[in-house]
Amino acid sequence: MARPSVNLLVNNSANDVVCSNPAGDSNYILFAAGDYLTWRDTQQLDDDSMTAGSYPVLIPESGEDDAPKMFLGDVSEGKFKQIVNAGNASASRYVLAAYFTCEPVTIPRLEAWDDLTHTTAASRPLGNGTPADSCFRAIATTDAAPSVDWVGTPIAGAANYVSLTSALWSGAKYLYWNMRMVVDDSMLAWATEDWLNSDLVLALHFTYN
Amino acid sequence: MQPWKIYISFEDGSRHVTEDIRFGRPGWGDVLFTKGIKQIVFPFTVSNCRGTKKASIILRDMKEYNFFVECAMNVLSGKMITKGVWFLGQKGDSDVDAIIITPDMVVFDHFKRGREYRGEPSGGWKSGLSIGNPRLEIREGWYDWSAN
Repeated sequence: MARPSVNLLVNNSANDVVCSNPAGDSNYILFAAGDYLTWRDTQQLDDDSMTAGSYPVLIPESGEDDAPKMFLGDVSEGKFKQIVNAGNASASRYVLAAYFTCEPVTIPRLEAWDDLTHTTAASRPLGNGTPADSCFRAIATTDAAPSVDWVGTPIAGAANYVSLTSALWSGAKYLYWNMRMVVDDSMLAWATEDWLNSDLVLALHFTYN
Repeated sequence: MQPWKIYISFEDGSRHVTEDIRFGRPGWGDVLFTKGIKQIVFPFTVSNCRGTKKASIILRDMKEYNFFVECAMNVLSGKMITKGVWFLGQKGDSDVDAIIITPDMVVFDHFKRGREYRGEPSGGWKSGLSIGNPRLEIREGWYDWSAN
């Protein structure tokens, strides 16, 4: 099959429903060039301006905690658009989506890398060389809803990934996943540049022929 | 013979050439082959600090064949990165030989069928002949597929 075109979408509503349009619908926003994902504190609200008050995630003094809210940084609108059901507080299934125009040859994987070159995954947020310590945990929800309090797989590099479905398919298809970001007290020792790292990338890894 | 196309010879002597595999539509998975494949040849170029060399990957007499391009799309930028090009041949009931061309190296590898792509199966396999002595090799130069 030819190389699939892939559209990435985020569910901006509280409705746990499938995406009805690869270009976005009343629930889903299509990623556009320059958009990004970010986690924020509870005070950050949907539709907040990106140039107004910014509320970063607070690091717990002890133990670990989930970053409270996940947002799409919608550059074209200049707003933070909340991905309302992101995280493990609920059993939401339809949170982030990738629409494939045709089937790939192998099951697509969600990966995280230090930068656009996809050569290393050893930055502090990705575990500092220990992938199990990656802040970013994901779970595939294409085939089934997760349980509340799902743990997810720490993603970092080629060996620590999430397969977005369980079997190959034929034709166009939406794949779904959910994500959480875990922060813990060890991050208090991070350098400023570790926190301001904007090079990290999520990638969808797939094949075609 | 042009590089970056796959030259396929069938059991009855007929032939097929795919599109240039670098441009998103190689033409392997889109075409239904009604005859068994005898041989596939892939001419390509290898570059290093000492210059550029011509080489050919040759798979012959395999029970089944597969080929795919491995890529990754950055979620935020949408930019696509080609990670590698895979050529696979199944020799017996389950043994798969593979050559993987990455931007940095060419790798020979062996897998069990169903676990050939990083422990998972791949789709798009095409029938071969499963006679003679199956082999997978790289030769210097662009192999003359029409004479073999």
